[in-house]
Amino acid sequence: MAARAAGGPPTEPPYDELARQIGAAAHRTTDAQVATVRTALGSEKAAFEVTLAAAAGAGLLRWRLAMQALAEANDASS
Amino acid sequence: MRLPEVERGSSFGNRLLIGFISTVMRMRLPDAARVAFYHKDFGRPIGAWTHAAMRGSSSWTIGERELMAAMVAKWNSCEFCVGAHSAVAAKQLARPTIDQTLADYRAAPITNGLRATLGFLEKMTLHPADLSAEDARTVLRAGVTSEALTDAIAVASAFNIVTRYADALDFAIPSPSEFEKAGDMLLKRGYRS
Repeated sequence: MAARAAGGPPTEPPYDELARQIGAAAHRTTDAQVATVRTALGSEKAAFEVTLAAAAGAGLLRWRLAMQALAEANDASS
Repeated sequence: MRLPEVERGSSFGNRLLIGFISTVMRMRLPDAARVAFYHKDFGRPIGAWTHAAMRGSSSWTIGERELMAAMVAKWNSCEFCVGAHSAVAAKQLARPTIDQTLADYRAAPITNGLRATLGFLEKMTLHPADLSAEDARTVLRAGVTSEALTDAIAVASAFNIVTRYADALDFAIPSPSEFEKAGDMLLKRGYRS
């Protein structure tokens, strides 16, 4: 989920659509996207895990790329 | 809230706590706090990261970091987090400064270092794959240290997570006075779950 939300390859439906949505534009997530995952997984706790994992993937991608840019700037100046 | 169990609490003790805090605060406990109480083992690392980034040692003030969080929320179109973090920032910075920064940080009355840092965080949020060493150098040339930029990156990373689950779960939007009250709690207690 985390990798998919960070622009990685598709994962299995129906998780793929929710993870991609959270990575690309979480504010456009729909009730149906969350409900479908909740039904497929059979619990709210599991749907919660998918949601947080996808969100974490998008954040961690940004951490990695930003720190890489800073490291390259520091390397060039040393 | 799209997951009712998160909203009402997953155990009797959890529901009691949500009810108690709501009564003491005289408002509906914001969904961000309900998420923090739910499935703690899974969400605790995100809370710990957010708390360290927002309340840990840094050359940025708490108000500046809350403003960065509000800006990430704005770029990600997260109404809940814009309201929540601009309310906390307003307890440390002048409200007109926050409103002007949210409207146009390039023209707002903020330091050049914060302005340059926000430029980096905007690209990091909206076009992360386009970030380059030159973007970082632009911030460093504005007088921001490498450590301070790292701290700002940690804030923006945390809120690129928080804003996404806030919107995916469809957090209820508190009223302005409720954001004010919740802001007092966030300023006092931070983000540890």
